[in-house]
Amino acid sequence: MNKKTVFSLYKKEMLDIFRDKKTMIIMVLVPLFLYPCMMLGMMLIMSNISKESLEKTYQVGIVQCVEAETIQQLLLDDKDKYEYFFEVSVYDSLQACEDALNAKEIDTFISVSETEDGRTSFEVGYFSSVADSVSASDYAEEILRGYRDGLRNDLIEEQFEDYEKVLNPIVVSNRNVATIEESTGSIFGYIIPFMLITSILMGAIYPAIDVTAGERERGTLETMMTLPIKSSEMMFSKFMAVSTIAVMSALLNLLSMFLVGIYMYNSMQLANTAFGDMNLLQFVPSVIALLVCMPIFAMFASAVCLSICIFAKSFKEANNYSTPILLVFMFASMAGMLPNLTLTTKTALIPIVNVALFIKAVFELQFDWTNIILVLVSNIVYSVAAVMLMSKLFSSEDVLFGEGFRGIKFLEKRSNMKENQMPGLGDTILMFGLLLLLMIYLSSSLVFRLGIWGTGLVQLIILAVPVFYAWYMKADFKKLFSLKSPKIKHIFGGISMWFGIWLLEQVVLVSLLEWFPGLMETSEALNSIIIDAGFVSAFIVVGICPAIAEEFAFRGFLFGTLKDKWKPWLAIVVSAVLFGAYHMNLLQFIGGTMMGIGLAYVAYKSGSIWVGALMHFINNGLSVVFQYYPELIMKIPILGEEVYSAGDMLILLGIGIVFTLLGILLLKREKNACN
Amino acid sequence: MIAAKGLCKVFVRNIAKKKGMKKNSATKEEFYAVDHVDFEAKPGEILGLLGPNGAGKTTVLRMLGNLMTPTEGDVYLTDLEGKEVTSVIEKKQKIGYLSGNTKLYQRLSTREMLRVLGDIYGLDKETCEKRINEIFQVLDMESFGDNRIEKLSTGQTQRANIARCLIHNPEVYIFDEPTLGLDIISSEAIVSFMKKEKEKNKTVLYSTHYMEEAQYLCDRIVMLYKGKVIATGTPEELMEQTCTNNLRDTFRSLIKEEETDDE
Repeated sequence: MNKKTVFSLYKKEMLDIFRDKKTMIIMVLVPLFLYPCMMLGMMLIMSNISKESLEKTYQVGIVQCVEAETIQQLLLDDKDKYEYFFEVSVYDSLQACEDALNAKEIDTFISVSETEDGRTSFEVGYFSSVADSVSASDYAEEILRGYRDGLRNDLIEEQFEDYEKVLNPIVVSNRNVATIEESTGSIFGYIIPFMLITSILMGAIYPAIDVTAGERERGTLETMMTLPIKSSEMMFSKFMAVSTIAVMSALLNLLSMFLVGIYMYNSMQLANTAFGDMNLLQFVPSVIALLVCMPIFAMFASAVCLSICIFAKSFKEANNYSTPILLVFMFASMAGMLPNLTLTTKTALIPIVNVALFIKAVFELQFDWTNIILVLVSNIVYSVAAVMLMSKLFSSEDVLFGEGFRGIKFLEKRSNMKENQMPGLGDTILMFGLLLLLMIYLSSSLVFRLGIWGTGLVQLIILAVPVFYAWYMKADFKKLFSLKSPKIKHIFGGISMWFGIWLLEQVVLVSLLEWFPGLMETSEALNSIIIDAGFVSAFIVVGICPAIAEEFAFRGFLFGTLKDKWKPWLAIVVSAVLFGAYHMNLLQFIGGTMMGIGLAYVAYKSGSIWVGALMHFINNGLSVVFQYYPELIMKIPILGEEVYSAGDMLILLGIGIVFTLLGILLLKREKNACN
Repeated sequence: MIAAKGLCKVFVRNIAKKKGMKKNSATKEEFYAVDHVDFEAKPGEILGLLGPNGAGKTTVLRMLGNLMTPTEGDVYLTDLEGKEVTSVIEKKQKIGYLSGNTKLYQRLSTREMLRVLGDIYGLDKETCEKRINEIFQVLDMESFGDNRIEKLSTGQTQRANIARCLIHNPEVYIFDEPTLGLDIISSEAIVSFMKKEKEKNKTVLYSTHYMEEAQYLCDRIVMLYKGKVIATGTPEELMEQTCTNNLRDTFRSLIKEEETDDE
């Protein structure tokens, strides 16, 4: 990448964006005008509501009874004590009161009855979805409780001289040690993440659409392709430009919040509330941390927006994608509002959530440097990785003439499908989504109802989905699913490779378990289902079914499509990561990804899905055998030992590498042979 | 830096571009938008690519301009000593590409756009300014060179587009239907520009639908039909071959021949 080229392109993008009035208005006007208006408006409404509720007169209904007079006096008498007023009307029956409440003629009612032990019981009725009714009943209850306490105190006073000590033998009280700054900070920590994250995204999304879909629609992207630039240079310049705008919008947002804050602070000082005594200087480090974090998060938001908008053919299409992005960001930014979620080494790695928690933490004046650095570094890594991946995945030709999300062939009518076509990238995304949904929604419920056969049914569906999809779009089955019969040599290569990777997998998993023992628990549940099922059914369902179904879905549909579009190594790695992710637990993710690389490599080199199916069968079948006959594994040297020593690990690692290499050697294509 | 030495020759060896599969074909034949095409263009020559809509002219020119990579075969660019330019970036340095699809940045002025391009092509500031002034003079753009491009008329925009191709003083021009939709005066400006560049011993490749224009302008013609080359030669040779006296009829008779062959 040539820095000078990136910079000249960046200058051009900036000039172009700045001349676009739409973007500028959204960027400048929204934060400087809308937010203060919103905040002040909210304050105004809030203070009006509380004022109203204090000055309001509530209608109370009383069911006709002996005590009605007493209650009426209670409610109407102590006018000086309370800041609210009651008007009382007496009804004949409880039913009449309820009807009146339903018709909103009264806000609350009081009915009187007698308990079994002969005490008088007052019941306050209210309508929970009407705010006035709730407050009226609260006030009425408060008065009745006061009446009760008064009566009780009188009784005690009659019998005991020192009635206060009888009433409260011990004293319980509380005191808030949080300073006023800390309490205010935590309020900031609730609101600011949500507002900042959304506004940064808004700042990023319009320029991102403009420099991708917009350029494509205006035809300037093709002009750009005639220039001597690499697609990575183009991507990075666009990334920098969008990030700059997002940062500027973030700064404007911060500034406007700051100004509103100052205004509120001043008005509080005038009003002489406790908030007026706050020492705002305490928040200076928080604001500095925020200023560091914002540009970095802006980079992340820009990378996400660019990565998605690059698929869009037109402004309109890109706009459609922007809504789901916005929703995801808004949802994740609400993490700051969850009371129990705090910044830990784990949450510091979750995108968006980590920024929300970061802002919350710094405003609560908690500075944990490890986590803060984790948040900042992870955001930089994610965004740079996304942009690098984008520029690697898309040659300039794909960006310009690529099929984008229109690549979802499934959306066409079947009669319009071309014969023997291959699925597009959009189809793989949709397919993987379908598989994941199957796993999430069907897998657990079917396994819960049908036991091990539920797993079998899920596998059957996992086989049916890609096959049906391929049939519907009239795909070239032989090519897509690599339905060639394998060569003997490749079978041996595949088995050798499986053994090699299997050993490596054991080494990795054992070391992982040593570092993170907590990971073990997750796999226990499935094991008990396998044991309960009986050997034969478990062997069929766990050993054979996935070997066919998952191979068709992952090495067939997904890898078959990807290898048609991308460089082989990229297709192998991506399909393997998807395969790992489909298992949805961390241990299996790592194991699945490792094996997925091997399986996809074999599918690529042998051109046959059956070698992989065999490997998959050996892998799963063996795990069932070991489940039932654990003594078998004990007999194997090294592997059978309870705890592996460092030497054992090295030996396993060595053998694993040897067998993997042997597999690669056996799988090597003869020159000019196959295609 | 622009290599001023050695004017460039372009030749195309057996290039092909696959575009998915043929619609509704029972045989598993793959569909080629460009089906193994060979030709070459020499310095000081205007080579015309003619053919009906969908013949693959634009795809061929895009591959020549390195906007697309051929699925088979290669596009070569050599200087007069026969040395080949291999990197895509260097190739693009030597090519000026213009088509109906290469739109300009509406929100910039021509001068601003040219400055950015000069930067990207690696011109230093002084050379760039000098070059811009020269181009403005040649294309008579001084009156509107500082206006935003969105404010320009169609003819002015097309001149700005030509200015874009000129800034790096390329050796090879690739023009995809440059006169499409322009009035007589604007298209004459473009035609005369191509002739001038040809006299400077530059290589010009160009596609068009206007047969009269091609007949008068082209030194040689490559006739494309359904992705294949069906005829090459000077306009005169082609007319002789088909016993016609204008290129329009030549075109018709060649296409007719192919269609009967197909059946």
